[in-house]
Amino acid sequence: MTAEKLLIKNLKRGREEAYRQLIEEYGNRLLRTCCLILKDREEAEDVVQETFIKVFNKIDTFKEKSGLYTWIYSIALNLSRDRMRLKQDMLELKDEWIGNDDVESQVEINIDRELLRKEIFEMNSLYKEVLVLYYYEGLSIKEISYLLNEKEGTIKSKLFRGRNILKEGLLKGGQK
Amino acid sequence: MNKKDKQDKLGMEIKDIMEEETFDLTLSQKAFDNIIKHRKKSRNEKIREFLNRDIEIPLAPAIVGLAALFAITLIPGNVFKSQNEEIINMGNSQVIIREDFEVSQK
Repeated sequence: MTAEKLLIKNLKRGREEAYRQLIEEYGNRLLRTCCLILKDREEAEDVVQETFIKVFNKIDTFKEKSGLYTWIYSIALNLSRDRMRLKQDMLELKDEWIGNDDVESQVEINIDRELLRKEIFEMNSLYKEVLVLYYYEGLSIKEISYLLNEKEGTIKSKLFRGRNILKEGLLKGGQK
Repeated sequence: MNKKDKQDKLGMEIKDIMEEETFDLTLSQKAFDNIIKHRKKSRNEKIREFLNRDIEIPLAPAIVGLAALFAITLIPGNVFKSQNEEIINMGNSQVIIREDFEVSQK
């Protein structure tokens, strides 16, 4: 039996050490990702707490079709999205990306780090969420598509637009 | 989007900035404890918790209840019965003479 399967089994049995192990393994990672998406440490911590409590309550219904962390992650992202919707920090994106990403990658720019930092944290969560999952978490388009329950084309589109927003911001030198 | 986007200058800068912003972030002990408090409990723990739980009983009703219980169990049934009766045996019959009238249980 793999370590993850054993952990799931012990979680289902209600063993305290399994719960502690789960939080120690994934808690900080989840907190960091949620913090990047929500821009607020306290809110991110609330989401992490809610996520784990939900995981504990629903662990018996977990069918192991995906990895444990993927499942936990999808719960956390849904909770984060609910919060962003409340703050109206998510725009609707109707169309899907059909462009050529080579055009974007050909643009050469000088990167002002502080300006880029500012642009990332001021950016709409709709795009930032995908950038965080892609660059920070190192997930593939396919994995992000599965996690967010969106088409791969939509994810590509968000990523492309997100990068363009950052590039435009850098080219304008922070002037909107 | 392909893999090289993750390794281009912008992609690497985005990753570095995100890592810099979050590297010292850790879940607080309060949050950790709060999560653990809400965990699913094992059957043994549930039983132990049930057996160890505190029960608050208000003092006045408890004393009244105990007194009532004491009265019912320890005081002999005939203690309040009238002692003022006289029995006259007449062959196989008895004549009971008393001041109060005992109501039959039937």
